[in-house]
Amino acid sequence: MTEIGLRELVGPLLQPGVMLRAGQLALLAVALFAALKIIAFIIGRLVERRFSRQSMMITRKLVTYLGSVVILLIVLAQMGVTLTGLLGAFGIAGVAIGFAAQTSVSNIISGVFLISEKSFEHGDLVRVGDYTGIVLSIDLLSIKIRTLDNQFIRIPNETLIKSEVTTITRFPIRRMNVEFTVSYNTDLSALRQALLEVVRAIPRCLDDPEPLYLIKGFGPRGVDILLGVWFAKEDFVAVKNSVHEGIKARFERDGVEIPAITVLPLS
Amino acid sequence: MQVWGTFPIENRTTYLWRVGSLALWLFRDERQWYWASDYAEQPAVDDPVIARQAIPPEGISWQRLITQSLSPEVVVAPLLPDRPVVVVPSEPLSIAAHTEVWLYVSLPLWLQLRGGERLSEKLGEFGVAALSNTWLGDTFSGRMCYTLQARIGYEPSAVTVQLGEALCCLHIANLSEVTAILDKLAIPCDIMALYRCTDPDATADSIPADVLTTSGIELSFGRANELQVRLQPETAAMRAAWARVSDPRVRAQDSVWHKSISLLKKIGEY
Repeated sequence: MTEIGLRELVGPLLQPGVMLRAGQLALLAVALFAALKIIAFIIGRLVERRFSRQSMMITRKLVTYLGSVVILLIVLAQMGVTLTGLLGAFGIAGVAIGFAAQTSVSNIISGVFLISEKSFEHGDLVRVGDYTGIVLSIDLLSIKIRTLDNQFIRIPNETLIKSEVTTITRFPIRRMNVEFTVSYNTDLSALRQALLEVVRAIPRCLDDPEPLYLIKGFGPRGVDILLGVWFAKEDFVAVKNSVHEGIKARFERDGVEIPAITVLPLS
Repeated sequence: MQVWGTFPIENRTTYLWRVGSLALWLFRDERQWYWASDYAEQPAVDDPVIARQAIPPEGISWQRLITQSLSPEVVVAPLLPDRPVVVVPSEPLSIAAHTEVWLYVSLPLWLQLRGGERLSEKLGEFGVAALSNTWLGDTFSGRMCYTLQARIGYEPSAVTVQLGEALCCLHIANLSEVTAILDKLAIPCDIMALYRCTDPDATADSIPADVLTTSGIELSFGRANELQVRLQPETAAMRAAWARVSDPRVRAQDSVWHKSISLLKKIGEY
């Protein structure tokens, strides 16, 4: 009984004419997908040249998704499926999905605004709320970042539009501010000279733009000083360590005192 | 003492090169090459040192490369810096309108170590001086460069060129109607070649034969005071008197073949 059923089901499909037709359709689908890949590549290249990498990524995905739908419809039409009824069903489904997917639509629209603003690009280091990480991808619904402690975080585009986003690596050079307090008996002109010498001795610190030396004011513990050092963005860790090591060593050598914070127990 | 060239390195022996501020230790254990470098606070004023059986300082950080070949030789070749060098003269240069000047400046070299198969495997590159970084441009865009406080001479003989340095000739033409004031000069070392004079009699400049020189640079200020920088072309006469020691680091790869391969690779990755 089962054998007869299978033969009845599979038998017509194994006819030479049906097999040939299936092969033709498979070939057509493969050719169309290959053509779609090339078209997506060319459009992506044109968009990247004119706009940015994230615009290219979004455009490529849009072209791929839309093209895939069109290819599916072409293949179905070739198989003899009536598309009128199918498109009608798509319309009804579209309305239902539209109501159900308001958040997704909001994310897509936010994504379009994000891309047009060009606040950050693929590979940038960004800070969003409590998270700081490298942008891995900018997609239709969200961006994906890898935090510095190697966590993968997905942030919806809608959240990004509503929040403050800091692109840390937007510009090729950065300034690091080192703030500290020295006691009131410190010779400030000698201190300025010493700090600039410390910075000059570190090859990774830029001499142009010049380091910033600023007396911020007179605080309760001493004179508040700000030293701003410029460096290439990729040298952040090395410069931060070298500058702090250099300042500490120089202060120890020159006898400059950084007043310690005294914590008094509450009685 | 000859610093550049091909040197046999005995097995399990540490060698030291001391050129300018650079101290470079090299050690070979069969096919394994170890090297470490350090910079002195002040450059050595005496002749460079190449020492055998050298004792490196404690705690120095070594790097290692294992090569295919058992070749015991190493090539020590001079190179120009990998970025432009911004030369800051001791006082700004003022060049009057419709005036041309030839200036000479010494640039620190890089030392490249090569070994292994056909002596073509790069072991490392080291500047003979620890140059500081500087930024050429505004804080939004520009280019990372090295900075160098240098004495600029009007004659080659006015510039002292040490063994780890090369002489660079700059031709500056102020074609504008106003005096040009230069407080710094950016020399595009990454696109310049390095030469050695092979026939001192054939050259107009009185440059000693043992001094390495770079491609010449031409700077001109146009009528609207815009600055143009270009390399002096390599002429047949120059090729007869000068031998190229190292090629420019940056070379345009714009051939149809390279573009086609690159395009195919990108389509494949897509």
